Amino acid sequence: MPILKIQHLVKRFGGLSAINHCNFEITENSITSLIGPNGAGKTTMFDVITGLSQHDSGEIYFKENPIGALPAYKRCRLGIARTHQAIRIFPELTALENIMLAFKSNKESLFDIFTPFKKHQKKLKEKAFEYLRMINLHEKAHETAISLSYGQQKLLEIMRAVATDADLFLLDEPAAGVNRTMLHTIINIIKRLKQEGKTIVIVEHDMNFVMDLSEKVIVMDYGKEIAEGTPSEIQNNPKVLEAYLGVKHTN
Amino acid sequence: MDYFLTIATLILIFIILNQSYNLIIGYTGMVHLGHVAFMAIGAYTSAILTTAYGTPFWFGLLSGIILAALAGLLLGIPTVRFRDDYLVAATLGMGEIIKIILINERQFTGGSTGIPAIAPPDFFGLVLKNNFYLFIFTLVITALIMLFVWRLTHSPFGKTLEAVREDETAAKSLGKNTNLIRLQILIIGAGIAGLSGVLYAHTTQFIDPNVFDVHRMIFVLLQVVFGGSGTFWGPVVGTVTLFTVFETMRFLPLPPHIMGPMRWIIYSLILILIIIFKPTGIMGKKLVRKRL
Repeated sequence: MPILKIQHLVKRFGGLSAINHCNFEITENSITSLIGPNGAGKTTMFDVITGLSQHDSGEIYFKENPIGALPAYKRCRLGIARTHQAIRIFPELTALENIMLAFKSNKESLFDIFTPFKKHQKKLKEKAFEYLRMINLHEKAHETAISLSYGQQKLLEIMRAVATDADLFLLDEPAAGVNRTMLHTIINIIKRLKQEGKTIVIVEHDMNFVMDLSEKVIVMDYGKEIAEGTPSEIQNNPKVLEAYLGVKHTN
Repeated sequence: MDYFLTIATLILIFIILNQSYNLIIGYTGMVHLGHVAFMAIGAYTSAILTTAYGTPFWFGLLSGIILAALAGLLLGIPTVRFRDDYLVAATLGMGEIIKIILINERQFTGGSTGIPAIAPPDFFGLVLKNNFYLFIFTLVITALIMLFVWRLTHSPFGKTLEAVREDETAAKSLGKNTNLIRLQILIIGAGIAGLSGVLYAHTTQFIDPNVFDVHRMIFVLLQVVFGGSGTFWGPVVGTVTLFTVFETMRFLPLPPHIMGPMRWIIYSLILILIIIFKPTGIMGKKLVRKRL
């Protein structure tokens, strides 16, 4: 069963079609990579799926329900989490608070301030510490997120997405600009999510990372899917080589 | 002594106003420049009700708060989607519109001559005539408001406010209804500002539209930024310090036509100095914030 289905999706920026009648499906509990040259529309695709920007036509189905008309926050509550290409953490909040903001069981509505929340908060704090321990940031839990290193911020953002307990994770360039050790941590997190039955979609330029990790690869070019298949199929697909290298591949 | 008590009461009233403004600009990061209009609505509502219709003080108080909060809702619905400079323009305009209404609707507001002879607060016959009682009464209300703000900012809801300020896109991606959060805080802020307006009207016993003009707005902004926007004690420190500075200036042996411009020079100087040396305000964190 596909957890996510993209059907005839179109997103225009003025005259430019960033996504141009794109179709694909993401199988539940799989790791799929979305690759393609710069400007192929991968990040735009993530923005449209999460509702950060509105698509022009076509439909997005999440767990077989159309979600195209929902605002971003509702899509998150349905179980879609994402990370961003440029890190988007809450810089002046602590690492711990960043994680805690992701919890769905947080008593965060305005009217909850009139009810006791201390006990509940304490429980959530412990849970958040566990998440931080997984990325070795528990010792820096009370430091502001901006004071962390680039790689640590990146890990924090990924962990914050994990903490939303979503079913579908959209990771935008998780491996960009991080060192080997952290890359290893990120790979472990992704594998673990997969074990827990989650679905992961990755946009990434690091081909080793993509080919090692993903079960399926979807290639986009000019806002359209041009190929999909297993990593080895993709590596030998002439259309893909053409998209990346710009020359016709001949045997 | 009476003079000092009145000044102290006014400082408390402006602490309430500035703390409500701090919720909007400091915690939620909305640069809202029409906030004193909510204070004006509270002040005029209660003043009109108690002078022209003879309603008791508590009724004026409640009506003032509710009407100001309602104004927050009405202003909020179209403007919560606005960002940065658009929000500044829209809210600044709204502040001016309220002032113009106050000047022109003479049969209700008394126009630019204002409303004189507003009765001091009374509760079921107990009139707070004495400045000392008035001070104590205001102190109690200030304490209650401070407690409320403390509770609010230290709750999970308070953290979502800061999340909206820090990175709205990320907050949306985490399932936060950012527009609703902005609207809620605007209503709360407006309601508290309305309360401060009611207290102001019944303390000074006279109001006119000039009390709530853009100068007042800038002074409020200055106090909050000086003290440290987005911190709990910042508005208190800012209000007490700057209010005291400007009140003491009255005793300087200077003619009024120099005093007026002098105040503005000092406002600007303080703002420039704070931006250079401590952009986050006296009580602010060491880090440099991206926004106010």
